[in-house]
Amino acid sequence: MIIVSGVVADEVVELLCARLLRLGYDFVLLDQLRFPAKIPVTWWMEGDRPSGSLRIGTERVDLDRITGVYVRYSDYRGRDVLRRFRQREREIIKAEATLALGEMFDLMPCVVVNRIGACASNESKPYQSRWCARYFRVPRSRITTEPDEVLAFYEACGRRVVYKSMSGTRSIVRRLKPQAFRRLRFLRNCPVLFQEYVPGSDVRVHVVGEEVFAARVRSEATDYRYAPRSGASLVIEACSIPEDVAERCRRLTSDLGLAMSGIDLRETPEGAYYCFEVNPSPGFSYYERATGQPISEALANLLHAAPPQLALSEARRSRSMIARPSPSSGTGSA
Amino acid sequence: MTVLILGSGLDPFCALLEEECARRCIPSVFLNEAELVGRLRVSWAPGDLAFPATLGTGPAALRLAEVSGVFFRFAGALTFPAGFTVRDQQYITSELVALFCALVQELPCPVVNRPRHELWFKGWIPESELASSSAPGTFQFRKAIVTSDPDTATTFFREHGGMVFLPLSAPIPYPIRTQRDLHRLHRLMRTIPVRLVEAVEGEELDCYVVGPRTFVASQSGGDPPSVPDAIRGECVRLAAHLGLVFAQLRLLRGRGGEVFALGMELYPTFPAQDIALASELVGALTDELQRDTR
Repeated sequence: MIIVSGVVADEVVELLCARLLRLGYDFVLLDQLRFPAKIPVTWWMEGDRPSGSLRIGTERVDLDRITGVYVRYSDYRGRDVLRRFRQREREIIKAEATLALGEMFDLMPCVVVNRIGACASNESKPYQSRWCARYFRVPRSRITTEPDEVLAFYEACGRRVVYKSMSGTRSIVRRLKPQAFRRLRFLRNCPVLFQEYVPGSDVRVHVVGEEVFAARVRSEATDYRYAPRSGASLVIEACSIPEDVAERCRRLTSDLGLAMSGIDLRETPEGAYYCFEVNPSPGFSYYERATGQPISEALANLLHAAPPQLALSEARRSRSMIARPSPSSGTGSA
Repeated sequence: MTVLILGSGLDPFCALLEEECARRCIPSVFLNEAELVGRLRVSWAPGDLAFPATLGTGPAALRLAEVSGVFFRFAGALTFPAGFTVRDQQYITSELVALFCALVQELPCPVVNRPRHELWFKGWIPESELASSSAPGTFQFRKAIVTSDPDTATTFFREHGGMVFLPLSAPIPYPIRTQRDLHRLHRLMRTIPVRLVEAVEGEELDCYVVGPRTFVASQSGGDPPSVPDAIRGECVRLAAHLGLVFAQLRLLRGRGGEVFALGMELYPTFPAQDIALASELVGALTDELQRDTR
């Protein structure tokens, strides 16, 4: 039995559910809009793992039967129910509901795509970049509040610089142009991440367990996600990447404690690969639709029957604490 | 060499640590998070150790190469001048959290505590998680459930002759003793699932961990209680396992002497009732910040 936790209006969730149906795998949709009012949950610790059940419609789902969990941490929860509460109360309610599921999923021994703690590295690009740098080149960066520093970096990079948010807050990546220099005085309110512009073509890599799907993105837009908005062209097509690059993507995903990731690479004309970001909750439906790659099928298979070693490794790396020392070994390690 | 203190001006640990550094003639710089917006000056090249990175709020910024230790208690409680929208405030807060978590991660000196992404959104490790990680034969754990089902809550209440409601996001206990309490809990459960824990009588203790050292205090004050070495050792092991130099285990010693683990504070609370303990902790923290990591 598989749990898909999210909202059905999310096309990633919709695609995964459709794939699970087609493959004939048992699953339940834990609709976060209906949680917890219409989806009672009760769980407790039984040894080192949670035990208990969810009730979805008329079906009782025992946690012991779960082979995999797919979860999107969305902000839609309880939209209607929460209307009558004040802002602060809504925040508390959302935190409690998120933790009730997040904590349970965190403790489950099956594969979880992805555990909430593992997702957090994406909340700081410079932090995550340290992991990326283990396996890939990363662009030269400056984080600064100083306009003069920006201008020096701009010149040092041959006047080819982009800027973006440091946090997980979505921002449009833009080229720094002289017209923007007059706004550099606002840096005093908030430092900004500037990066050298890396020429080449974007390669989006989805890692699903051990499977790797690469797609090349052809666009003249600086941030291809917003290409249609700026009138720029956008072509996404399946591509192959060298096996060593694929292996580096697998290892990076595993190091971050993720069972699935969407990795943003750029291949330079010289064949070098730069890594910009690892997305722990990738919107893979967009790429699957464009390329026909069976990403959702790979995910469904992973959730249905993850290799035990993979599930254990993902759980160990992503959870803050899982290792219980054996009586003979003294201290354990994750 | 300079100790960097990054936290709140309202946090006594930060103020006392600054005093202790002065007493030991260790230069220190305290960046008060309430005074960062509009005053922070940073220049940093992530991953480039040769870059002369600086950080500060005054005209003379601190060179990061001079930082010999970091006491990191940044909670993101920024203060904004008038004119910033809520959205601006949320954005700037996220950006500064992202910045500092990455920046102190890269420093090669001791950092208490060095941020670790698995823990960013946690202030507290609940007993359920400790239960999955503790060495057998050390801690006891209270019976606990998380439920959104009122009937299950009622059954748990009857089985244990009372219970404690412990919110998942903040470990503030709300005793449920009467039917009226129970009815109010049922109303709450229409909106959120609740964590319910059996009520265990006993003495509540705090075991602070600073590196390899432990400091135990009773929450009711009085002489430091005795705690078995095995329990102290397990507290050190659990903190180290999480990569924490500084942690606080909430314990409860039952009537029979058994020790229950109630949870772990990732941002230890200041023992305001025991100034001598506070001084010991600050001394131990300063020692840790001076530890040679080369």
